[in-house]
This record gives sequence, structure tokens and C-alpha cells, in this order.
Amino acid sequence: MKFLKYILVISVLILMGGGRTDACGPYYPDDPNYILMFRSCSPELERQWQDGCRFQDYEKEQNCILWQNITSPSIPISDIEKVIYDARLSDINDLSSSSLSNNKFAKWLSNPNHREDLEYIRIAKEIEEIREYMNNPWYYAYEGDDEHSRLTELKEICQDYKGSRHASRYSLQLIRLHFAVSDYKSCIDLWENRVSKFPQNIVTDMIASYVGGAYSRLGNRDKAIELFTQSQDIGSLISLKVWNGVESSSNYTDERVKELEYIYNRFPNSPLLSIKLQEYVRNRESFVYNYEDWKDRGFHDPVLVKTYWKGDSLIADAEQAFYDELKRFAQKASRSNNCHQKGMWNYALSYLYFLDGDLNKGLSYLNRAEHSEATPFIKESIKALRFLLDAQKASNSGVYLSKLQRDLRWLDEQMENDVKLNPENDWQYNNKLNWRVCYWQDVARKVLLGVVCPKMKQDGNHTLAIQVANYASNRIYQLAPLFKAYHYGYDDPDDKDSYDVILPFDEYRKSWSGRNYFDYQNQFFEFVYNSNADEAAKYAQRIKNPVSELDKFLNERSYVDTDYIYDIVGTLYMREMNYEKATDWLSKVSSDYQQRMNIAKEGYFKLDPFRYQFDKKHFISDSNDYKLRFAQEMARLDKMINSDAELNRKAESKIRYAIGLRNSFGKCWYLTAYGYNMGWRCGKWHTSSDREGFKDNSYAQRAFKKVDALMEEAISEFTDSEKAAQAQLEMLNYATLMKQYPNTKAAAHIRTRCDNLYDYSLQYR
Amino acid sequence: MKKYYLIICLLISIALLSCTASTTLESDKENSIYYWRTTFSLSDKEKEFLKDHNVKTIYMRFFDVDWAYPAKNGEDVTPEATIRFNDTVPDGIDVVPTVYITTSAMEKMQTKEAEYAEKIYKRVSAICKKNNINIKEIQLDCDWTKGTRQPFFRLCEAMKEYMDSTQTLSSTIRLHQLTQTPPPVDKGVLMVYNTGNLMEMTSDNSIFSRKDIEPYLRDTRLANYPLALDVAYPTYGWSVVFHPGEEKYYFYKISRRTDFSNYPNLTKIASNLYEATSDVDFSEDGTGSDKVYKNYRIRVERPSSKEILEIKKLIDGQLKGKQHNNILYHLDESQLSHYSDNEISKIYSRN
Repeated sequence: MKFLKYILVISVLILMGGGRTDACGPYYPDDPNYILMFRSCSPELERQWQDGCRFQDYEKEQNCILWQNITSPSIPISDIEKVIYDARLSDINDLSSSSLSNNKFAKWLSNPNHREDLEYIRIAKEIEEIREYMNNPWYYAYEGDDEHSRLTELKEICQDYKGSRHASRYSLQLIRLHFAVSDYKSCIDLWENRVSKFPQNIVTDMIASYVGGAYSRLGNRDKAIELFTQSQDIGSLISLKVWNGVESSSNYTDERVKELEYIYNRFPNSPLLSIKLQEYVRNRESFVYNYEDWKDRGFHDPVLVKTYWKGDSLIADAEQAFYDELKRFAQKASRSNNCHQKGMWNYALSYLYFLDGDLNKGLSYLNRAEHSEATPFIKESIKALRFLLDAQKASNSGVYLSKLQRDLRWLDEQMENDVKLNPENDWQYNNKLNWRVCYWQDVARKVLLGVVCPKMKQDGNHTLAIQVANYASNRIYQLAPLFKAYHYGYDDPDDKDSYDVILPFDEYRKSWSGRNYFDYQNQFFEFVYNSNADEAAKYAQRIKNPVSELDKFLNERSYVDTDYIYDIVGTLYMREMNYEKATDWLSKVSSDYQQRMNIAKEGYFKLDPFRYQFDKKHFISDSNDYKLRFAQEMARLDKMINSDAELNRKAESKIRYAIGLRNSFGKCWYLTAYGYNMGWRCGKWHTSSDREGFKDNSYAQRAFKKVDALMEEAISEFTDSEKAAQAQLEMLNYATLMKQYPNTKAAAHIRTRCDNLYDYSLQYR
Repeated sequence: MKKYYLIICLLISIALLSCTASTTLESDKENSIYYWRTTFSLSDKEKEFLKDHNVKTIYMRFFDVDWAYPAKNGEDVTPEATIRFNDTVPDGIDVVPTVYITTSAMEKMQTKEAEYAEKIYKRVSAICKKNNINIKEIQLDCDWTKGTRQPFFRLCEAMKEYMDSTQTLSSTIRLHQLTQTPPPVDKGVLMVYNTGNLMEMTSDNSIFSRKDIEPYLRDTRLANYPLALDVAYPTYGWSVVFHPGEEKYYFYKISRRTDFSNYPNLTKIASNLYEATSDVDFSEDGTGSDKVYKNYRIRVERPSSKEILEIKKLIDGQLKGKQHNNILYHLDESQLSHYSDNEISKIYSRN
């Protein structure tokens, strides 16, 4: 049923004559198994590293503490940070401005006695802003331009500073200015003659880092390494590949592990280790999924799997040697006394063994991780892995179900906290179905949709599986209920403008004029759609009548709109040709609801499902309760077929029923499905009126057999040749009609009509 | 008989007199040309061209202004493809810095026109200072339409704020813009090229087509246009390659090559249209890097001097009595080699 993911927009082409598609989207949910769940560092830490191979937060904090030390302990660090890092020069020039009016550090600086501090901040801000402007794409440098001239003046001011209070800070500004113009010699001179004699602090460390860079550029690698090590500038050490030759006794051969070893030996608790570890384990995670996917596709097109040829065989490059070394290194790291992150290394080992398919070893290391020293952040990640591995191991036992209930409560809290942490974050209203931006939502989807639900289904617990799938797919819309919808002007005859609008999800579902991209494309829907109608009905009943605390918990946190659920159940019954039950369920769906569906918006409900051939002349004017009316009519015809004694009427009922049935697996596919995969198959373009297009649909195949049988029976049962001829006419069987019923009114009608029909009349006059 | 000779002689004399009276000799006047490349470097032939045709002004594209997505350093409207000077401008030639502004950039500049006017002016000045160019005139080139007209006009007004009274602000004027109020600039240059739809196979010539231009010259809108105009004519060409689709041909690419006479697998199916009867590889090394495939079509577009002069005659007719210069687009040896000196002189000539 994977095709369901691709159906709605494609199917638009069927009725509307083709050619209209959305510029972007619709977006399809990822396979939950593809979600990468290993997490040893925060996205913020990762970003800081990617931005400049530094951990700015650490530098910021230390620098602010230093300012606090030389000013006043009563000034909060946050106030210092605001002035030093966030304020512009214009704010500093007007310290009483509203943005700094309540800032204690600004107040300190306003005091005439603290002019020296203020002056330095002014100079630093001006240098920063000029350099910022010089990086602006609009800036065009020429010798003697204002920016260069002013920087020269500022450089002189920095050089002329004779005080001691800000000596290192002015030196930092000078070093930056020298470095920016590649004057490495001046950087080194300044260091050797002056800064190296200052007491070490975060500012001199920052200077050391620049000077290390200057040495490196002038070819003095050893001195560069010395200064980078002193300033803990791991990024620069890495760029020099310092581990080459240094770790001569290394037991590792892979460069990446050697690098980890180098960092670990010098900075065993560096945040960089967590960043590197996350990258490597996630790469492995991604490989495992992609390899499985490649295997499922019969080893065709290894797009996302690195491969190489060995003789005639295409081998997936699993980098086994690297991961074996990584595991060896992680084991060593997890045993070292200097390490305060043993939990992280054990967590990584657990994950890597789990990815190798060794669940027991994975659980064993997880157990160690749970009992090792770790930051609260890593402890939460360990808990998430516990949730995953328990689900992998679980059977459908009562013990597991009660644990699941506890875990769900914990997971739900995590999801809720994520939302609270970032209430203004874009992901609150962007496309949450596909963007893996909320870690705990990812965990829910990966574990519940990828492991728990399929297992429950396999164990026969269909109802709970559907309930859990609904929770995992839809909870996020309750927690972050805003959605940024894009209005395509061409979609809406009343409003031709295109625009973005942020609206509550509930409103989006109920009154948005464009398409609903979510409710029929998520894994919950896929799950329920792949169930049989009775299972879906059972689930629908459970929503109304919860039998356990777990039911209540899940129902409260899922999308349980009865219109939505009952429409699906009714449709599944129609797919199974059970029109009686379909009528029961569809009669509970509000008339409004169907008009909100994408198919209604696209005009599909204009087609008369009992027409043999469709044309605009026979569009139906009242499409209210379209699905219900169809189900009722089919149920009525079913009864007639089984009970009517008059043969001609019975035959007519059979033909009408057969046409309706054929159309419900043809042009009117939306009566039995929520999409149709139109496209090329075996070199032929299949539309929805083509049986070949339903080749893989077992419900359709069963229906087609019934259609053929009913048609055959009906034709043979007619005793009234006029009625038989009329039936043939409606089914466009002109040749048969003219041959078998030449003296009927229908045959006469053909003779008076267009040339094509007239040919038949000549032939069989 | 003598009487007839006399009449004929008289007529010839009148004709000659009228010619010398109304046509300035090309060698006597100062001409202009556009320079539209990203590196300023002149070949010997180009230098010769400037000298031979007494070109004293080069309208030089300094940079484009385009919408940047994602934003660069917080700027979502940025200068792009800034010119690099590998050569100095020959003595005695004035450079008119020309800035091409895309319509998407213009849309983004709305309400911030003054800010961008400053940015543009500052950048143009910086480029001029670095390259010893004296700014007498700045030209803005934008295909503004009704939606972007007001922001563009506001930008022009704001630009003037930065320019001194000796400096001129000019703007290109496209044919379709003739129907609207002119921008608030000191003068305009009517662009008589890129008149058709490049992407459409049905266009007969997207660079210069009488069919596309004539409708704008039928009435008196050019004659009555309330802004002093010079006129720019195309002296370049290219070919446009189309690939077949189910119902129509679709744009594939532009090629600099315009001579296809030596390719037997290209059948000429119209005066400027070829169709490939099998794959044709134009790449010199035979790697297939420049290839068209079977059934592809190539439309050759290079306006002939005859076509240009016909249109020029119509335009000159409308601008009669209004002093105006003719400008060539653009300085490129390989393109100009398709026109003789005499043809260039005729295009430059003022009537």
C-alpha cells in the first residue's frame, strides 16, 4: 500500500484533464525506520561546531565571567552578555536607550569612573561592525576607503593603549586586525613581545588561537600545535591533522578513530567527542536502514549505500573495520578514569551493537550505560534507547503493556517539554510530518510506528496497534497546533492570490480551502487503511467506548474526529462490497465532512457512479452524502438482485450494480480508496478507467470478477428485448445491439445518430 | 534631351545636398556602445573598433542586483557578477556605470528603495574610485512592469539624492514600457532588442523581430514620449535550441554558435530554423559535451544590418527633430565580426 503515499495529487490528473500539479509537495512522511535516533549532542552544540569549529557558548561564558571579575559581582552574567555580545555600537553610544535601560552592566559603564571600560567596548564594537560591513556583499573594497581608513585609526588606538586593565583585550583586537590582513608576523611579534607574558585567561587563549594560526601559516607547525593545545582550540588541531605521527603507539588504523583518540587523550570530556560520536553512529544508523531498503528492492540502484565491486559482486561498503575500531575505542574510553562521560560511550556501544543486530549485547551495554556517569542530556538519550530496545524485545504481554503505558506518559512529557522550550520556533507551524526537528516526536514515530505497532498487529492486537499509530502520528498537532499553510491562488476560484497563513491545525482541517496534505498521508492512516473493515470498525467503537486507562490516554491524545474515522470505516466496507455496513457507518458522517475532502474540492463528486461512460453533460448537481448515497443504492440493488422475481428488473439491477461496482474500482475509485496510483506500468499509461491500473489491488480483482459475472448473468436473463437493447446501448455495445436487437427502439435510435453509429446500422440493418 | 539632363542633375544635386545637410558623418561624431561582460578586458580588435568608430562612451555593466536566497550575511538583495577589471579603460573614453536590477530584486526592495539607492551608489562609486573612472552618468537597467514600476521609480528618485548636479541618471526603456509614464530620470535608452520570447519556439527571432517591434511604432507614443531617448540596437546573435515535447517544443539551451552550414545532419526547415535528423555533436573534442539530439530544433537569431536599418528608419522617423544617439549592444569582437564597418557606421549614423 506504499502507493497511497503518492496518490492524491497524481489522481487529480484523472478528472481534470491533467497538467495541474503543485509546485512543491504534497510532502510524504518518512518511513519511521529511517529516523535517526542516536543523540549524543544537542543541535545547538553541533551548529556551533559547524559554524566555526569552536564552542562559542564556552568562550562567551568565560569572557563574561572575566568581565564580572573586573567589574562587580553584583552584575548578572546575562546583563554582561547582552552588552558584550548582543548590543550594537549605537546602543553603547546611548546607554540609557530602552534596550539597555534596565541593564546593570550598562549602568556600571555609564559611571564616569568606568570610562576606560566603556571606551574599550566602544572600540571593540566599532571594529566588529566595520569588519561585519566589510563582509557584507554590498561592500567593495578599494585602497583608502572609509572602512580601511577607520580601521587604521582604530588599530593605532589599540596600539597606543598603555593601561593594564584591558591590555589583553586591546591585544585581541589588534591580533584580529593583523590576522584579517594576513599580517602574521605582527601577530607573532605581539604574542612574543607582549601577550605571552600576560596571565592566561580566556582572552589570551583566544589570542593564542589566532597566533597558532599565524604560526601555522608561516610553516611553524610545532609552535602552532603548542598554542592550539594551550588555547584548547581543537578545531585548529584537527585541521592540522595533529594525530598523524603523534600517537605512534596507537592501536587504531582508521584516521577517524585516531582523531578521536587524540582528542580524548588531551581533552577527555570535550564536547567535540559527543559531536563526532553522533556523526559516526548516525552514519551507521543511516547505512543500516538504507541497506535494508536496498535489499528490499532486490539490490537495485544502491543510491544511498556506498558500494564497491568485488569480482562480479556489488558489495555494500559497511565500513566494518572502522566501526569495529570505534567500538574498541569506545570500550577503552568507557573504562578510563579521566572520563566523566562513561554513560555516553556505553550508550554508543549499545546502539552500535543493536545496529549490528546483536540485541542482547545492545541491552547489556545499555544496562551499563544506565549505571554510568553521564550528563542529564545523555541520560535522556539512554532512556529513549531503552524504550526502543524494550520494544524490540517485547512480546504482547501484559507486563510489556503496562510498561508501555508508563513509557508513553514519560514520552508524552518529553514531547510537551520540547514544545514549551521552543514556543516561537518555526517547527511549531512548519511541516511537522516530515521535518525531523523535534527529537521526542522522532522517538515516538521511530519506536511506536516502526516497532511497536507492527509487532502488535503481528500478535493480533490490531485495535491497540491502530490506537498507538494514531497517537504517534497525530499527537504533535495537539502539542504544536499551528500550521503554516500555503494558499495556491489557482486552486481557489474565489481567491486567486497566493499567500502563506498560519492557522490552528483544527481550522486547517475544517475550513481550509486548499488541500489537506496530512490526514490521508500519515502512518496512522496507512495503518488503518491496511486493516480490514471489521478491525477498523472495532477501533472506531473503542474510541467511543474505551475499556482501559491506556485507551483513554491514547484517545485523548489522538485525532479521533468521528467524521474522519467513520468515513474511513465506511469506505473500507465498500472496498469489501459490504454496502449494508458501509451505509451504517457512512450515515454517521456529516454531510459537511465529505465536502471538506480533497476529492470534493477537486470535483470528483460530480461524477455519477452509475454512469457507464462519463461526460460533463451528466455531472450530478447534488453531491451531498455522495458516498452514503452510493452505498445505500448498492445495498438496495443487492437486495433487489437477491429478492426480485421479475427477471428483467433483476437483470437491470445487476447491470446497475455491476456498473457501480466497476466504477468504484475505476473512475470513482474514491468510493473504495483514498487515492489512485495512475501511471506507467509495463510500458503503458494507466488511468483509473483501466483495470490494469488495479492489478495489484486484490479487492478490485475480486470486484471485477463479480462485475463480469453479473453482466453475463444479466444479459442472459433479459426476456424483454427492448430492455436488453437499452442496456446494451447504455454500455455502448452498439455492434452487439445492432446484431442481436435490430428491431428495437434502441437500434432505431442508433440509425438516426452520428456516422459511427450509422455504420453499425448499415451493417446490421 | 538637354532639358532632361538638367532636371536629372538638379535632382541629384538636391538629393546630395539634403544628405549632407541631415546626416552627420559617422567619423565626425562620438559614439557609444554597451559592455556587458563580467571581466573588462579588450582585445586588439575591440580597441581598434572603439577607435575606428570613434566610440567615446561605454555603458559598462558594473554588477547585477538580484534576490539572494538564502540571504547572504543577512542581505536578501545582493550585487552579483561584479565586473573585474583586467584592463584599463582607453584614454578619452567615458564609462557609464550600468546596473542591471532583476524584477525579483525590485520586488524585494519595496519600501527600502532609499536604502538600496545608497548601497548601489556607494558600490558604483567604490568601483569607479578603484578604477579611476569619473562618474558623469549612471544607468539603471530594469525590466519594470506595472507591479514594480513604483518601487523602481522611487529607487531612481532616491538615487538622484546621492548624485550631484553634474551627474546624469539614465535608465533603459523597454518597448513595452513606452506605454507607461517614464521613470524619473534625466534620460533614457530605448532598448530595441530582446523583443520576443526566447523560450517559445513560435517566436521567429527573440532578439530582434520586426513583427514584435512594429506594433510599438505604429502610433505616436515614441514621438510623444516625454523623456529624452537614445536608442540601442543589437549587434549580436545566438542560436536557441529546443527539444520536442508531446505537444510542443521546449526551450533547451542557448548556444553561441550560429553557423550550421557544415552539418549535414541539420536540415534547414525555415529561413532561420534547423532540425536535427540524427544526433549532432558540436564539441570540438567529440566528448558530446555540446550536443543536440535527433528531432531537436535550432533557431538562429542574428539580426541583419538590413533588418536593423529598416527599424532604425521607423524609429528615426518618430524621433525626428529630437537629438538622439544610437548605441550598439554590445562590444564583443566575435559578435561584431558579423557586421561590416560600413554596416556599423550606418547603424550609428544620425539622421
